[in-house]
Amino acid sequence: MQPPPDAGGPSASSFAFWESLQPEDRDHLESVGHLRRFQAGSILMRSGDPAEEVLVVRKGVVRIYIADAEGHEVMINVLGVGAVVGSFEAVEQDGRIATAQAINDVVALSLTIEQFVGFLNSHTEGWALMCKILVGHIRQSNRARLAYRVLDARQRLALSILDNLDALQNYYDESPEEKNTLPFSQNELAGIIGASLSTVAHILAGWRKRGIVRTRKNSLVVDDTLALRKIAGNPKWMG
Amino acid sequence: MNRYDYLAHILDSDRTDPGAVFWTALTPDEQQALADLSQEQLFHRDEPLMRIGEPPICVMVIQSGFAKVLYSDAERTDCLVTVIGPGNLVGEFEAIDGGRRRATIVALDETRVYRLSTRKFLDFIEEHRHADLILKQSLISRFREVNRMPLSMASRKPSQRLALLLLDLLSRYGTDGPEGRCVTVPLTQEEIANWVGVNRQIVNKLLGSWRSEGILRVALRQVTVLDADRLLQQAYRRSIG
Repeated sequence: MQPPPDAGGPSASSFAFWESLQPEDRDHLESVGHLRRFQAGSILMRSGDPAEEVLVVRKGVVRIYIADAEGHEVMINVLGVGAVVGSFEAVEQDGRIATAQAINDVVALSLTIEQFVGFLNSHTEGWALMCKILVGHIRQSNRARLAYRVLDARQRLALSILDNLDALQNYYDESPEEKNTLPFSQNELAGIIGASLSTVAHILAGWRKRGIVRTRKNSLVVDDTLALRKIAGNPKWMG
Repeated sequence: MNRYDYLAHILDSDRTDPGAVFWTALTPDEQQALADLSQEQLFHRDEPLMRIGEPPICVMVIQSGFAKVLYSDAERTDCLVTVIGPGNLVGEFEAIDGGRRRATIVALDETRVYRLSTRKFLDFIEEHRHADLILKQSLISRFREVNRMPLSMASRKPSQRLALLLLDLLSRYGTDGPEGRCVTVPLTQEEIANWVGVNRQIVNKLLGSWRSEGILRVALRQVTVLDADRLLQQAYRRSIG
């Protein structure tokens, strides 16, 4: 059996910058940085802005948007506790590559680019860890594009809901109701899977009738993940 | 900036992609040092540079020629996901994260590479600060590149998909000639069809009509983009605004 490309996708650990650090390094970063709070819906950083700080998520979940070749900002990822946001700019020291928005209330440790680069430079494994995280992000984007090329809109939607729900599971605090809630609007889901809003609304209406999902304003509750998995067809590269 | 302008801007800008030109971004000293650590290897058309599932024992830098990157789906048919060419680093992801090969890479023409062991490559990067920076920049540029292709590709017309993919190649490997920026890639119509995700007849028809309009030159296993502006119009026909 040949292994599927990018089997299982990014595990939460591949993005868990904070968890990969030694306790003394975390203490050090906490002593030099300061905590910032962002209300649900607020923007942490915006694409094109000058990059002055790096944020380590300590509480809450953040979504990341990046512009495609047409200048559309498309949601490409959700990041939660332990993830580092806005760190790639530490290499290029150019403007922001992506936009980050708080999904719920977020607390993040703020470091200046200089503090962050200084930290990476003073640790042998620092940059290696950053490169691993970066490769994980590239693989994830690759995988999404591959899946979307061969799947129809229903499969893409099911897959994307499951994927994002999985990612969020690792980030949310205990709360059974919240665990099955995807905080995306139908418009955002349409953007993620590259389909029209009417297509997404039509598919979701069908699933709602079958008791697979419940739709709310700006969010979606999944009641039957097994049914979604069947619809997605479990493509091999999903592991 | 509307979407049309945005892609036009990418094509026109002098900003070369560090991901595509890892080799040329190195200093002459670094190139020499890397060449000294490497063996030269030549792959003929259809010979694999690396195969999915293999352990990551080596890293390559393409010196000349092109190669196709294939992923396998559940039915084991090979999906052509991208085309890489001169200056490209190959196998560096696995060098960084230690995993097995995720894709199969197959030569499209006479593809000449420098090949060195993963260990030697990582040592080289550690000893050369500038090369290390180029590697990191190339990763970030790859990150940008994969996200640049719109996710809505799946719901586009074949003509728009084909135009976008050719423009992507042009932005990565295009060279400036007397008639503007052009690129020649050794792809068969079968391979293009696989890449676009449509059947060969559709590709054949599209290439034929674009050839008669002077947008492309098509020869055996070769497509040359001649008129980027008009290809850009094809990519956004009836969808501008």
